[in-house]
Amino acid sequence: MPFKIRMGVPEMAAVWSDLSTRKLQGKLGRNEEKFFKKLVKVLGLLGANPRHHSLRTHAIDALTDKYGFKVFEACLENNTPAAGRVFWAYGPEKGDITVIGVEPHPDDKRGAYYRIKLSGLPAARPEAPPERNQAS
Amino acid sequence: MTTLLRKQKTSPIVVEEYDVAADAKKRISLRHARTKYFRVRSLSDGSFLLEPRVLVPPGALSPRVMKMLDQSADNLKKGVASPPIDLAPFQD
Repeated sequence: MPFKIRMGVPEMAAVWSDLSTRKLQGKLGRNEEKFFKKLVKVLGLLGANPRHHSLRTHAIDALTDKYGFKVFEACLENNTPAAGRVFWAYGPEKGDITVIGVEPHPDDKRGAYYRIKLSGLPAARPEAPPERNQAS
Repeated sequence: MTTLLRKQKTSPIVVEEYDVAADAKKRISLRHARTKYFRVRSLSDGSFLLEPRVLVPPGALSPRVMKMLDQSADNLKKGVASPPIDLAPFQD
């Protein structure tokens, strides 16, 4: 059963509107073009079969608990650690899928939240010199 | 009377010291290493300094994305979403 794809309002709808308009006008930048191509592919697959294996769809428990309805995540790319993600949910009507968010945010720096970072340690204090024996 | 609690700082002490030989691929094994990840500093005198590191969750969402999700979810709960989008012009 094919699903109708809707965008969450206001921001996701605005992002889609902006990207799709500029795509038709041929005004997307190189990175935006790549991102849009992946997004369209994922949305096409979502509409056809939300459980398509290449989407690697899975429910996000933390967001499901927060919002009170089941939130799913689909990957924009496979075999890429820095791949983007599409967050979606069923509804508002039966047979609808609403995309509620996408990461990376189009205004974020690419991949800024995907790089695995390693924590730093506080600077170690230099070793204290051994105490001298005062007795002589 | 107020009590000032000061964070106790402890400087590292040497708990083990040993000699190792690098294998054919210049690898050495760390004995009793308590962490999986290290920051390695290669010093000009040939020494290597290893500091433990831990992974930061890569799945953390940026505040912008969280805001986008919050707004969309609130509206979706009210039954509000955009009209269905048409992907046909963009699909090859």
